[in-house]
Amino acid sequence: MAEQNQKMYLIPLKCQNCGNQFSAGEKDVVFYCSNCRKAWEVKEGRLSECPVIVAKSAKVFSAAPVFLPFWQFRTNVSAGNAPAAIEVFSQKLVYAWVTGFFAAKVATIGDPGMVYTSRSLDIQEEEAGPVEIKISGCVRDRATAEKFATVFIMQTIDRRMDISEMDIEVKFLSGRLVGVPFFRMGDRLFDGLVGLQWPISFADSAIA
Amino acid sequence: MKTSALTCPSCAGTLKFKGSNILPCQYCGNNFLLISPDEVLRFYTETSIDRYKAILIARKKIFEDPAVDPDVRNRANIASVKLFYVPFVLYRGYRIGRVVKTQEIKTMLLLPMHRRETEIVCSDFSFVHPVSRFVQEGIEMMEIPLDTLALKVFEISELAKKAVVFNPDKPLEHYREIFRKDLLGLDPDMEVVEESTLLVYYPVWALNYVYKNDLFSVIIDGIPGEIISARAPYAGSFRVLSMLIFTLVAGVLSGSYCRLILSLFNSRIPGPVAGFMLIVLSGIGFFLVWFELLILAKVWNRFRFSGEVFFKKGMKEIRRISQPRETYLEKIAGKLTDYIYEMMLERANERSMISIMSIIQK
Repeated sequence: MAEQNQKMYLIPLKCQNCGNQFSAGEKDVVFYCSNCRKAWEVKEGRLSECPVIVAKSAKVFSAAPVFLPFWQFRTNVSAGNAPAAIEVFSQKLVYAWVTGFFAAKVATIGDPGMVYTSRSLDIQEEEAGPVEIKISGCVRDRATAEKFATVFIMQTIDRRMDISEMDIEVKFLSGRLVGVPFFRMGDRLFDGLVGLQWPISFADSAIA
Repeated sequence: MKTSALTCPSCAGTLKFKGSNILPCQYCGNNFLLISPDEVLRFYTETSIDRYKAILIARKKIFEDPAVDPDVRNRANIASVKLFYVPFVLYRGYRIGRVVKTQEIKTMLLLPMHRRETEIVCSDFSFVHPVSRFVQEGIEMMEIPLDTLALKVFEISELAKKAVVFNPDKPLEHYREIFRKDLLGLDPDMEVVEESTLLVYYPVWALNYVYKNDLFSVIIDGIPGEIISARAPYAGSFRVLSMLIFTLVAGVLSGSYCRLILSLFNSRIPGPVAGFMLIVLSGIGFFLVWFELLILAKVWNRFRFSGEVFFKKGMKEIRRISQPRETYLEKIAGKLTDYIYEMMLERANERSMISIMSIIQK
């Protein structure tokens, strides 16, 4: 359906499954249909479906959740030319995480994607309920997220031991978009997976 | 960006580009995502000062500056006041990858050993750089708070009515390549991701004024109204005053010195003591001449050559007009300084050699 010319083209922002209009932010590249719970990514000039789940909160908060987009990858990490302990450690890094939204000031306050990656965090899926779930503000596509995921994995291993002499190979077995529940309490955001708190400003663009 | 070419695929209505990649159709209500891989989004920002205020700023901050010739306040003729829109490129993204660094470590045997260490890089970057032929000093140092500016979609027809609009002097790809080289260097494992380029046309006021048949200019930031750079004639009264003060001080010092020397010959001080004092005073005299010559070289330049006050980013600098790189006085003072320095160095070396020899002898 893309109206394409040499340089620029237009893609209708409608769910390809149910025809529902997406509510999207200014720089979004992945769109979530809250009606049929499917996510759509722009690929080769058209919207193509990408796997998506909504994560179940592991912590209990009194506030209503806000779902922020993350990329979760199932990975196979091999560390050649490395000590046995590092080889074992790298094999345990099964999941890599990257924020899909624009997270501000991560250089100073830390990146939740990096935190989840270092813990190789797995999640449970939230069961479908009557409540409408919105996931918006995903400004990072899958291909870019994979590049960040590779860096996060290398960083996690490098924290254990310098990787200069190692041959680290990261294979992505699968990837999906995950709506991670965050809870707004005053000027802080608590994440529902590990219970860490972040200043509200770090996810301003996605929450707005 | 050719926004006129954008029509709604559903109803053929005109889609208006408002800075976001998401375009709503005002006729059928559908939203569309605009994909423009090769296009650079262009914006501009309105100036917050008008022509009258630009003149007022120049008068207050430049003409009334104590270093500027006070006559400028009354006798300067404003020749032109123009608003320019100068394009700045904003290039941002993330720099990710690994950098292998070689570190030198000192061992017990003092033999240097090298150790390779990897640094994982994942950091965002943001460059703002002027990209036009509007070459004025200070433009390259401007700090543009792009995140706080109210940006509007650039439309040349609108903007050209109220200002002179400069275009980028080179394709933006040229600047992107320079930024990438700066960011990545020669590291093969580094890359730039999520890069985005934005072109922002920023307002700058240029005010030209004539004073004593010379043309001077003042460049003013169109948003906060600060001086980017400016030139103004230097206050002449200081030139004469500094020469007078120097002549007075140097005359008193030299006169007193000569009087002291002469008094040695007329006094009843015993011969050997007077001889010793004469030697000491000769040494002092030598340093006095050197010191006076140094000061004279500076004061003479100030007196002989007329100057300009140059303002740049809150700093002031006096620049001499048609002043040679080094005047004769400066050359003589410089040579004397070198001679004194070499003499002192030689003495210091001699002393250290003597002390080393005495240690060895012990």
